[in-house]
Amino acid sequence: MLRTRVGYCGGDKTNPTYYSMGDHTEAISIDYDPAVLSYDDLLKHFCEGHRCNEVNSSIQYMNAVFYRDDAQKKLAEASLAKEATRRGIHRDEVETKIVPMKQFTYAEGYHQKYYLTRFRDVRAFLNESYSDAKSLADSTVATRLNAFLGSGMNRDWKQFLEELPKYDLPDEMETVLTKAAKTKVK
Amino acid sequence: MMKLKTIAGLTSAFLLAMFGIHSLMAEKLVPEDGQIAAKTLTLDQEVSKSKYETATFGMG
Repeated sequence: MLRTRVGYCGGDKTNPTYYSMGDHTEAISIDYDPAVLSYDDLLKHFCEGHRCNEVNSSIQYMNAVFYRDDAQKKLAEASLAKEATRRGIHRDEVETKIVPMKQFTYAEGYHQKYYLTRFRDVRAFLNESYSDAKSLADSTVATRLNAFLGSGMNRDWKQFLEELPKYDLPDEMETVLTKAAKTKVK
Repeated sequence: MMKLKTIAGLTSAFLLAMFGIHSLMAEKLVPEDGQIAAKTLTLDQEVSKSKYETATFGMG
């Protein structure tokens, strides 16, 4: 996975924002290396990561695959059908939508790399490097740090320690993070 | 009566000013354009040259 960003898509409203989203949905957009990971792999993670038979509460908060072309649409349909079988439910009971992405608009800067808001020094450093929402969202370094320092994921701290010197962090920050990560390596 | 008009006028002016300030201060959001903007950090520079595909999901 190369980069992740959050934003609004699927709707027709022009210039959506968090406070004026219209018919758009809050979404995550993932850039990946197709030589390492396939779209099908991502669909599998997506299907396993949510309850596809749960009724969507609103358009803003909707479980959906936003396809970019016919190939993605077909793979999404096959993947959700497979997920229905795996869960022992009928395909009609799947509430997750498969809809065209239309246009993806980057969400506001304060929504990007949200976990890093708890790490003020790291966030401040990244904000110095990338002052606008798009460049911060497009940063692989910010994406990796957000994933490792965030919660709710199985993290490979050995990998983090290997990657850390490549992030160009200030020496003091790198030292603190190295020390913290070393205590977590089993 | 005059006092009420003044209060209503001042309130309207305040609300309009707040709305105007909010609009001016609002962050300009941009659509995805296929260009990777992050190129300051070395790793970002390197990765920005890599071939990639994009997947998009809504997660309720």
